[in-house]
Amino acid sequence: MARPNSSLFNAWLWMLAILLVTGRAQALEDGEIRHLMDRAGFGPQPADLNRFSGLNRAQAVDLLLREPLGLDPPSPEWVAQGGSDIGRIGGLTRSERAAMQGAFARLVTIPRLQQLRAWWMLRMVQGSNPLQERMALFWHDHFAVKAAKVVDARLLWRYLALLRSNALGSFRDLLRGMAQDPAMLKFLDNHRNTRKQPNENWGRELLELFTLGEGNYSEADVLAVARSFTGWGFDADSGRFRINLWQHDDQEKAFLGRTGHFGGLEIVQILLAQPRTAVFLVEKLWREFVSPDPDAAEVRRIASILRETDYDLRAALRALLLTDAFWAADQRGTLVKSPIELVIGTVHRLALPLSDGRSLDGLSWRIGQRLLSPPNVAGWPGGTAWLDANALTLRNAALDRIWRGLRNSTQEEDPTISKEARDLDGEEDAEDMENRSAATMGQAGEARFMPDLTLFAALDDPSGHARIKALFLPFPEDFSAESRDTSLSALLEQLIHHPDYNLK
Amino acid sequence: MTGSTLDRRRFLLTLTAGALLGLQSPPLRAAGAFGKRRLLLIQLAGGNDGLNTLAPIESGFYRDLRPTLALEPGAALGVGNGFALHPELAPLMPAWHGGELALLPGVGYPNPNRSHFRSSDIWHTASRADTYLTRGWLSRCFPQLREGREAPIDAVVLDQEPAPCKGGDDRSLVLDRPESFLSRAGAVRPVTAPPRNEAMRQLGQVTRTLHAGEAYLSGLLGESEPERASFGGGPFGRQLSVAARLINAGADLPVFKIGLVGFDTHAGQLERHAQLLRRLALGLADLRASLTASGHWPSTLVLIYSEFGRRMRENGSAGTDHGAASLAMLLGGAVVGGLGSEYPSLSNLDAQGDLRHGVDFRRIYASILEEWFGLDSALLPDGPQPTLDLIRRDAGMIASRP
Repeated sequence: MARPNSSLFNAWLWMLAILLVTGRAQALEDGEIRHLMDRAGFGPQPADLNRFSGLNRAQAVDLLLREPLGLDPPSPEWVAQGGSDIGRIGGLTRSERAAMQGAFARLVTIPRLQQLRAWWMLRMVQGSNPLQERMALFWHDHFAVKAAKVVDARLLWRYLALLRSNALGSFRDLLRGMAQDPAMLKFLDNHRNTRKQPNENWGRELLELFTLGEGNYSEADVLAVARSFTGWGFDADSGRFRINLWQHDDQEKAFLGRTGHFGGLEIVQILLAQPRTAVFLVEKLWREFVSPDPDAAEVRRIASILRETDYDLRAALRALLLTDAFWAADQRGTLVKSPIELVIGTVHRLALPLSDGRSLDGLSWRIGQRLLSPPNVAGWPGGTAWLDANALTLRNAALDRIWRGLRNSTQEEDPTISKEARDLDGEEDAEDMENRSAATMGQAGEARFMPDLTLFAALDDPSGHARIKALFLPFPEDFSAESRDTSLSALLEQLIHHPDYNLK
Repeated sequence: MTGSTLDRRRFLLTLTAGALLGLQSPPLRAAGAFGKRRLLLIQLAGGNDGLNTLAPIESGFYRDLRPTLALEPGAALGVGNGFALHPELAPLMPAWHGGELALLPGVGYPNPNRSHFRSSDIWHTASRADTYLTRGWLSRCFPQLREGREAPIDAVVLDQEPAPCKGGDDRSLVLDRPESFLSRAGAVRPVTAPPRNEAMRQLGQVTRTLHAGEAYLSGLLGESEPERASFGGGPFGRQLSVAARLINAGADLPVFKIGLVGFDTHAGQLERHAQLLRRLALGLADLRASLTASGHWPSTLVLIYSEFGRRMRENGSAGTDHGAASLAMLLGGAVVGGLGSEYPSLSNLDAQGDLRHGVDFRRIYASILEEWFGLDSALLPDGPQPTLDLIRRDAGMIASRP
């Protein structure tokens, strides 16, 4: 064996010394890059290997956090246009009114909602700030609304804009914005919350689901909140938030031990002053990003950071993503990818150059999760609830479709909305559950967008293939080839079909 | 796509699943063997109008509040006591006269909810109106129902709505068409590595259930022919046909679920309701004939239910809106036939003008659990409920428990 070259040896000694001095400053391994991008984004592309090359954990997390917010294209014209209030047209019979509402739904509302969902799905694939996209989706699950009940696409567009612009900003701004968001107010019936007949729906969910969690308030508190938000609604024509003072109960209320002539904003302020709110949020973020079992001490620490920074979400996320728990080796592959993550993640990883997100919406819908269609106001249960025998077959079939290439699908009718226009309570009709499985994936003759394997060209050799495995699977050592085909294409196809690819 | 790889994998999977089942080939069943008892859930989705399914045909109130929709006395099928079945249910009259059909009007629950979604959830989880549960009522019973059965799955859900079976250690399979399900299931890769965490453990378990179920069903389908009857046609008929085929081939699992969609008749009810009831009756009649011929009818119980009924007063669109109490039906070789509950009062309506329920639907579930399956109705989330004597005590069939 040759003697080590002394200058090279010295160089190694210096590097070692620097590494030791800077403590845990090791550069991220491939598997850690995958872990970070799978959890804080929708999965890595090969370019991320270079992007994070040589960075340690803190530097990588800061890189993600410092990314500027994605520049969204301007909203469609119709968002700023007036509404249609078929309910106010006089002299119609019941069935005439129903016919008009049905037609409006088919010709106007459905295409707009299609456009919104498709736009959002595509942004998640192509957006320049993956953490922002993840957080917008998280906030949609947290402040869940159903399009089938809100119906007015303008309201939903603005709701989405609120989520996106505040995704990494201040929770204070987000909560205040949500309390005045017409889509949310309509979804939780607050536009019907009046002084004479208080409606507790929004008030209850604000406490139970959005800030404190069950067991941290009384029924009297719920009523106090409901009364404080009486009159908070929106103008049907402009779709803008508006307080109807005639309907507002401005009497004194007692809420969480304080009394005063509270309105909605005061309630929000009181809630944000509760230590419990920050803890509740951080616990939820922990379950989203780290593991199903939050570490109580770490949660308290990060909740303090959240409060001390006046609810700066970036600060909280930085602390969360730099916990030992997040990076622990036994935390790889412990979370289940939701259907949206599976679809978006795969299309992103394989860089299908779609220009329209409609097929993505159809796919995620088919496999069990659709934007703006959570099962109820509590959002999606998530976790291992995504895994059942039927789900596995559908997920696998969806991955097949993506691998074979997707089309920008043509317009497809959303039966839930046409029914809702007639149905008095605005819930998804049973027939729609049947129609759901009939969603089309595109028409013959349309161009197909294929996975872009050129992204992986630089890694198309044995050691590169090993790196690719680490980019896709939490446990690449568990992967074994299904055939003797050692091509890049065969490898990628097998990786996305591997059972562990359902995990992150 | 690597076609040969897929075939090889399927072959290996079938062998592996077979080995897991401890079998070298699918089980053969002697003709006429009864097997253990099963429950077929038939969900009429959308809110079936009980008032026009089993109509108070002689009531003035009924006719006054439904000038367009009330059934004609001449056409309807009298069942005594001033009540009559919708004419399209004629194919079920042999079962009625044979004492195998129980009609249960006035079924519901306190504080009825008129939202499809919410009320279906209540029926499927057997919860109270003010409680939100996620686990299906049958899922709570699967561990006991599994005892002594050889099927690696607990339920076959043919209508895409598995809610009553979901939760816990979920071994239900949702199929649309068997062939497409089998090929899709076969394409799911097996989990071979030992689990490193809870998520992987669950993934492995679900995958094994999927493949074992796939192998089991594939065996049953492989040794049976498709049913020749039409079962009323349409998606409903197809679901019934698959269920009948599996049962006749000896499927030893306790629950099947089938759905007929379209009962939300807010407008133009007469025609729509008639079509749906025709499908229902033809399908059930063919099911009864098929299972009787194979000897599986005595061990089969069919529960037909809907998430709510509809309002007494018709609306301005020749339809009806969401109501409260409705009609449930039980059909089977061991059923105590007849009117199983009192028809709700047509004059003493609830605050919204809907029929008040007289029987809590959970008592039907309790009766099924105790009288049919020999289990304890304490398995239901709210604890045991008094039963309704819906099953003949002299039925003398093999219960699912010794």
